[in-house]
Amino acid sequence: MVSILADHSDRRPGGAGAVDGIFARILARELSGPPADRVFRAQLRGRVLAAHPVASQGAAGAPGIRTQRLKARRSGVRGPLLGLALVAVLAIALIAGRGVLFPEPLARLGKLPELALEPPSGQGGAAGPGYTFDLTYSLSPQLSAGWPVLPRRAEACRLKPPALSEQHVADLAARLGITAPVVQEGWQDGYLLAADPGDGGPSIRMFPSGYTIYMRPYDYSPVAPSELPSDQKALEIARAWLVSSGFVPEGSLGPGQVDLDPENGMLYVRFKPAAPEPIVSISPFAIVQIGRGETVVMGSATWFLHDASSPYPLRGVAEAWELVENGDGLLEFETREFPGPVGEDNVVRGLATARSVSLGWWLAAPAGEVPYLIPVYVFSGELSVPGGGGTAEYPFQVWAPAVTEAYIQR
Amino acid sequence: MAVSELADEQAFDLRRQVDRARGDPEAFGVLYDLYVDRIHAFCFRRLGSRAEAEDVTAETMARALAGLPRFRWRAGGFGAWLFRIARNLCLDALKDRARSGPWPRDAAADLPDAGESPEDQALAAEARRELRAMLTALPDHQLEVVLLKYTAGLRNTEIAACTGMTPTAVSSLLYRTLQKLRERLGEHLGGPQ
Repeated sequence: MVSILADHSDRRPGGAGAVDGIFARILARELSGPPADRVFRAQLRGRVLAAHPVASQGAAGAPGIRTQRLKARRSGVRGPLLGLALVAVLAIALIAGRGVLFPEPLARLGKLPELALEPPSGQGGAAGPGYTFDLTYSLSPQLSAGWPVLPRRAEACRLKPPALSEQHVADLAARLGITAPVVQEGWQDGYLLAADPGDGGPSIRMFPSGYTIYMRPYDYSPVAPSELPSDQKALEIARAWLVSSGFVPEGSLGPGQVDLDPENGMLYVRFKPAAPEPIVSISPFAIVQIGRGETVVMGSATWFLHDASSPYPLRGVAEAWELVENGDGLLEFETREFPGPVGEDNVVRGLATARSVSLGWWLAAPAGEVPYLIPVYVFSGELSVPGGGGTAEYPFQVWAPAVTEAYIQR
Repeated sequence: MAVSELADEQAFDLRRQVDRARGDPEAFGVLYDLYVDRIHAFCFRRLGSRAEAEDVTAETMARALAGLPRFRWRAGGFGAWLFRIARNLCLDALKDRARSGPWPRDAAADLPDAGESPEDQALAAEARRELRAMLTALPDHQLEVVLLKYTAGLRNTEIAACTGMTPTAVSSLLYRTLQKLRERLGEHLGGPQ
């Protein structure tokens, strides 16, 4: 008996009733296609991920964390609260400023780049989520009653990006045992440098932003966590690899974080620079992926050399918060849990309530110019947005420039 | 996410993953793992060669990455959007040459099913030959829909969004096509079905 039942349903094929009997087996065999070749699959994956706009601007350090320039709307209750806050911050500023000496000259590095989302030169693509925000901002009762005492000054760091030179890439390749010559490959408006034997063996690529990635063939199949190194061992391996490969200078790595990815048979070890801390931008970063047998499967980094530092005077927190309310800040939130806009206009509307504020550092790297790590105020709290028949809350952070306006290039 | 779980969109929450992938290479890697074999299988059956299937699969993924910032979640979702890219690339490739037949003979394709009796094997081999001939003779738009359903594993709503047809038209076309295949195969194998 050969029979086939028409599938009027909106289900995927293969469920009960779709086809049956010998015809089912024949149809399944004839219409199924072969999976992609394993080597092709792994190599293509590496190329595609390396071409991701965020990776190419030097990212992948913080999964799911995205930023977007804010579109702000002032809260109807902001005035009185801000009035209280301004009084509080003035009092704090007077107390904190009394008798403070600045033995080092301030602002020796001159004006600093403004806080901006735009990626470095020629890297294309912004790390936005694809929709915009129209948020009302408010402060928690605690912050409304008074801002915490924060430093009146903070260091800004001038950085030296790694040179996009054939010699530099050849040096990295040699350290990694890659013998293929360094060649230019077209990349957006310019080129990147690659040492790739083209036979599926280990390769290295350096992008104009400084983002550098090493890849080697690997069996990306699931693995039991016990087959992978312990966290402590993974940190040791990753640190040693990053330094010996020349991806980062010795002594510059921060503590490191290990994440398990058993589905792809590997561990991710992520680093930020040891100082300043915390850096809230995606770059600088270094990631080492370690697989079975303690093999480094992939290593990638956008890392800079320290050039010079200088303390800068900071604006008050209240002034920074006012910038946030006016839309001159950058919003960070976790897209994995976020439902996105509910309306047709692709705009997320909601209430952002800040509950704490602290200092952090952001990589400001305008196109073609010297990169800096600049101090920013980090406001943290909950974002309340409609969804699922009610209102849901999501953690958020918003960053505002901390250096006084006189030292920012506009 | 294991590839074997790829049909379970509800558990996986694809929409959130796609949103995340806009700014996260690792999240895009998850989508890549989820779809690459299905894209490859569809392209292979559509184009009939591994080399071309790999070329089109690679191009599909590159275009998906480039187009992700502009992608908006509409009917059919991400899968329909991705397969529309692959489908259009396959159509471009097919324009460049006469269709050589989407079922290239290879060793694996002709292996008998384990556990079948010799009679079943003979019947199956004969039925497969006949089915291949019938599938190859299908009008292109019918073949494409059948492949999107049974090779790519898309839902009817996804096929509709991918091809520009209505879901009802997809369902109807699938019904007619499979009914015809069943009847003709039944005739060939001798006996009413």
